[in-house]
Amino acid sequence: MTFVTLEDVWKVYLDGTVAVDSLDLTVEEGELMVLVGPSGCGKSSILRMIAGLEEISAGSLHIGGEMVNDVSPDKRNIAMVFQNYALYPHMTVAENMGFSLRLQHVARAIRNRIVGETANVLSLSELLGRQPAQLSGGQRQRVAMGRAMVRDPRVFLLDEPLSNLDAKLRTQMRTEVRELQQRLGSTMIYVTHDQVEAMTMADRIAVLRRGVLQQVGTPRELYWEPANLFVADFIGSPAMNLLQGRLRVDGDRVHLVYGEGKTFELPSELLTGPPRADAQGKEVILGVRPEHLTFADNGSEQGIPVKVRFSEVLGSETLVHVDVPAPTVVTEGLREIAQDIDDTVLSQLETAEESRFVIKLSGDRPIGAGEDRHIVPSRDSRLYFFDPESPVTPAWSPNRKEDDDE
Amino acid sequence: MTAPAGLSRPVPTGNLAQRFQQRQKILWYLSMVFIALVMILPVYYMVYLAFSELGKEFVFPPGIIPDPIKFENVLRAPEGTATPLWGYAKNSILYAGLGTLGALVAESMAGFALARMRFPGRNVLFALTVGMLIMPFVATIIPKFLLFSRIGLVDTYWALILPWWFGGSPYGIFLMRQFFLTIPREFDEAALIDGAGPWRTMWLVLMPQAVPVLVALGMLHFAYFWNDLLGPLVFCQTRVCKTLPQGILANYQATWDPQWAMFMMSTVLMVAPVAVVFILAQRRFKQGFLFSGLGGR
Repeated sequence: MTFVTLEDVWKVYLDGTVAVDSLDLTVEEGELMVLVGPSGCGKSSILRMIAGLEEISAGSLHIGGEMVNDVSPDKRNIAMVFQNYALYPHMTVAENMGFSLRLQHVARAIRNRIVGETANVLSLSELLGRQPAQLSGGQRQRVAMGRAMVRDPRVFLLDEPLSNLDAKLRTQMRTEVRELQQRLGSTMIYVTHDQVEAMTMADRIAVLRRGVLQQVGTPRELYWEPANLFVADFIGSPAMNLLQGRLRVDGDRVHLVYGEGKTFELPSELLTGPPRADAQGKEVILGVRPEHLTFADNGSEQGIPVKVRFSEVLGSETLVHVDVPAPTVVTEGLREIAQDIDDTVLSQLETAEESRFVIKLSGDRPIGAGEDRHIVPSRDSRLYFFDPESPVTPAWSPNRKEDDDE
Repeated sequence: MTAPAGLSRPVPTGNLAQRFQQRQKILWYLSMVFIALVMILPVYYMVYLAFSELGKEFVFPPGIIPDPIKFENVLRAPEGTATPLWGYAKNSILYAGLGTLGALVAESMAGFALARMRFPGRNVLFALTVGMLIMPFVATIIPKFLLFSRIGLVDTYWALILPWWFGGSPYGIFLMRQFFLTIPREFDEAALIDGAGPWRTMWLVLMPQAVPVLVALGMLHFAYFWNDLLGPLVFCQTRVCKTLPQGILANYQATWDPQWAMFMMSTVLMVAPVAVVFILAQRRFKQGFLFSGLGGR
């Protein structure tokens, strides 16, 4: 059943900034929907509009079939977990959790019972008398969840609830929150900028960029069928390998001409059908996920020539970093990371004659640094084609599908 | 025994820069000592006089301590020359207590509104409040007197207390606003979702966090009301509402024989409770100003 519906929702701030641009989104009952995107993509604004902390500039918001645009936050029957938890520092854990009930004038005995039960579920019973300052990060996080649960809300809203925890604890809390959500069967809308968090927790993910929804789908769908370059680049770690070039069609065979006149024949078994008429000469970005690339046999001249830089051995898998003789495709994600390091890194990337690919091999199979090898897509791999003009142009296919007669 | 490698060489000492720094430090301490003396001397002299024998306050040359020390002054001074000081003290407690309470309530509410609520004219109001900081408060005494005499509040406690319940001081409003601005808005939002409106958000969520600031501000107010002479002089001409400073004035200074020892002893007794509280709460007091982002400059 559709539980939360946003229809043509806009958020425009007083200074004219459009934070959310005509958003249509539905969240099913009992679903964990993750809103994900880089900073400034509007995900928090959406959450705050659902909570009622921000006004909705235009459009309509329904929760449980009821239009709630003008309903005050406490009447929307939602609960929110804040990034910094916002636990009232002068109240004990029990008082924090019971505060909403106290405001509703629920009798103390009932209040204590509900708080006690919730604390039990979250293993907080021992801590009920403590103050937030006496708790560890993970415990605070749990109290914040508990405070939300006590209200028995129709929808849980979580705003980057794990970002203040260290990496190990974050992984643990991730599963904890997910298990809790499944046990309670509650509807959750979860905001994060961390795509790994999104992939591991979500029933469905909504990817946003500059206030515009790019794609909604299950983690699988986003991974296997990214709608455009932005989603393809954002989802998946390590990120998808990208190679820009021009298509050349010879009968049924399709080549990618890249770098300085190098060509790479796209394996025909990976193409979905005969080439389209307009594929000839088209400028594209070819995308292949790290686990879909493999090394050709030593001495083979097939595929894309690369120089091995180094191998990261992770035990169950090995990440081999190689240089490809073609300019780097600087995506928004890459640009953001580069700028975070240093502006010179970005200019280096933009002018580099080689680009870095990552190849994920299963098992412990390091390749010696400095080796010259060739890489080819593995047999079960998928190739993605994107428009270099804009990261949001829908992904494209150079082939006619069997059922697709244009 | 050999010293560890790093320590074997003697550290070079006494270069010019170091000596200059040292000299600066000494100068700094000397000037601090001088300022402290300037502050302490009158207080010391007050205490000295308070324990002197009546009529022998001004023997020359004065000693370091009075001779003889008259401890009985502690009991004699409050009896006064005409009326005992106890009645005045009661009025002072009422004035300082209720005035402080009212000022804190009003300043907190105004500070909260200026920091947290959105309403037209908010910035203008805030600018006016800050503007009030440079307005000499004496300038408002006559209008206030006219107003209070019109509504019949002159010669009652209310003339002293009520103004503070309806506005407090611009300084207090400013301080509370600055404090509320330092509290993350997530608390307000969490409270809003929990079902609290602005009123309950302020009293149940924000004010408990403001205790250090309230203590600091409250002590400033209390000390001001407790020592205030001008206000009571203007608004209170009857025994019903006269305060301790007025009582001391009436009993000792305004007579043909000031009885300096008694006069000073009454003053010591008046100041002592506030001073003791201040010394005990000193750390909290400083904390309050640091909290509000105004201290530590």
